[in-house]
Amino acid sequence: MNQVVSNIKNIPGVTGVAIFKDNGALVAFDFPKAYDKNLLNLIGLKFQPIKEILPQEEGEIVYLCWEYENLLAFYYPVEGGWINIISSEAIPMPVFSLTMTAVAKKLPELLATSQHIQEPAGGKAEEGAVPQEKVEELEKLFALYLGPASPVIFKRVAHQFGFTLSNIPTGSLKAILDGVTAKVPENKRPELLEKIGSLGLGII
Amino acid sequence: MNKQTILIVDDDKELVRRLRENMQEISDNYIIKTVEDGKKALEILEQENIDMVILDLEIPVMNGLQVLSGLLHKGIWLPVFIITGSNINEKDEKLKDFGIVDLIKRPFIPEDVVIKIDGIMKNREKKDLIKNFSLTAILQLIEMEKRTGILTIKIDRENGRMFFKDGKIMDVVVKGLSTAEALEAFMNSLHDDREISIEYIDHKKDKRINMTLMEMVIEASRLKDERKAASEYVEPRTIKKGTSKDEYLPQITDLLNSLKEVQNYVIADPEGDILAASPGNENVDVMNSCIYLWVIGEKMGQELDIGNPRDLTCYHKGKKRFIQKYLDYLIILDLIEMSKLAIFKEKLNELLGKMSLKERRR
Repeated sequence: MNQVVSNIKNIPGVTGVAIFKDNGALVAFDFPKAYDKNLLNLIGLKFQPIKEILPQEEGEIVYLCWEYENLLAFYYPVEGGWINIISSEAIPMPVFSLTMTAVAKKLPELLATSQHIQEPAGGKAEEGAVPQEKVEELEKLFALYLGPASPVIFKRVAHQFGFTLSNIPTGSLKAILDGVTAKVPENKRPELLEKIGSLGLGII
Repeated sequence: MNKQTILIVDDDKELVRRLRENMQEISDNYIIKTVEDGKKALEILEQENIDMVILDLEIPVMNGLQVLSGLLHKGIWLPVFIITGSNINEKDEKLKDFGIVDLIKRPFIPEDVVIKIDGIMKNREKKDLIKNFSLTAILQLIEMEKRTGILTIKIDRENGRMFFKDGKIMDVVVKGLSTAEALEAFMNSLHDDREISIEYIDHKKDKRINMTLMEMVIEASRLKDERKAASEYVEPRTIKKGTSKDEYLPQITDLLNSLKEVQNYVIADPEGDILAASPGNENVDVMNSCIYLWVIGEKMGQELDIGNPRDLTCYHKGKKRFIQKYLDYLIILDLIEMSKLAIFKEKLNELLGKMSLKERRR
């Protein structure tokens, strides 16, 4: 695994590499010292649902690339996990593509046997996240006011804030609930808000 | 006939030997397990898949009646063949409560017992498995014919059991689930194609479900419709009119229409409502995932302290998607030719830059 990290890190311009399993467990990384494994684990949490969320009809993702002021951030999915890479804008794309093709072939086998170095954060509630039983209570409540579409609406609003239903931070819950309740007819909204208030979420 | 496992619970070693030999002689399909005392028998019954028990009532540590009571208490349901030296009335209806299918009194010829058991097992094999019938239809028959027994289907990896008496549903049991959860799991399975097994055996079971079979079928249909509606539901997205920044939309759409690299485009507001789109893309539901990816980029930028993303390129197999945020607009483009991405971005940014300048001058 270290060899794979090293191969990617040797691509000119690459400043950081982190490899995660599909469950969000960090298995290897080489980032500047300022970025520790706890921070990378938090980032892993954000990426973990991508495979599940992106619609199949959009086609299999080869990679995603965010461009920042001076840096590029890559998400490169492989079988059994994914790789996050930070590089400068000057990364030579042919070298990158060639290296990553080789890595994508080798990595699934390594991922299957490798131990994680950090507990997976993905799929589990972050510290300070809304407990799952409360999320389930909210789902039941929304179903009464929004009907069968309620799970779709709830998820969609959570996605707009960059969360899934399993990792909504308590601090973001109110904004997400505002987004969902906005879809409820106005005459029913006070009643719903009252019921949400009675769930003891500590936000209303 | 599938292999079937029979557990013989008896401390009479000679009898057990003869039963085992005869059972194996009569058919290769029987796997015979033996145990001498009732406590060990209960442990095996709890841990392993046993299809039938031949149980001597006079056994050490825990006698046969205690084993029967243990089975009842633990909710283990299987046919039991009783061997006894006591004077038990074999016509006692209460025996059925424990799933007793037959009873034989000592002394007896072991070969006779084996023939009886083989008959019972073959009969079970014929009756039990039902394929290519919906569970709904089977439940209707059970109710019409006022049958008593146990219906078993696989729910996830567990055996889900429904107990019915005189055509009325008494209880549903799925390991690890409460009665209400088990009932819902059964209802969710009603319309699926599954292998169903039914045994018309009396077992003692208290009534725990206050719902008739037909009510259950109707409820299951309702749940199915709801699930289908939820999975198919796509929130209608229509082009929003009258927003404060509408004045820029014609300029952006003119630009996008003029760029030959652009195959399809969608312009949306931060809530994911489509403000403008290329023909045929007015109702596409790509926004959810695109917004999610954009927000991930923003969060990553904050956590790594590298600022906000300027754009996002998604390389899909067979599709190249480019996402950029301008003012409050999220612009999503599918590009025909990715090799000219740099030139395209330059053109787009030049125009957006001009618009920003105009905005600032105001």
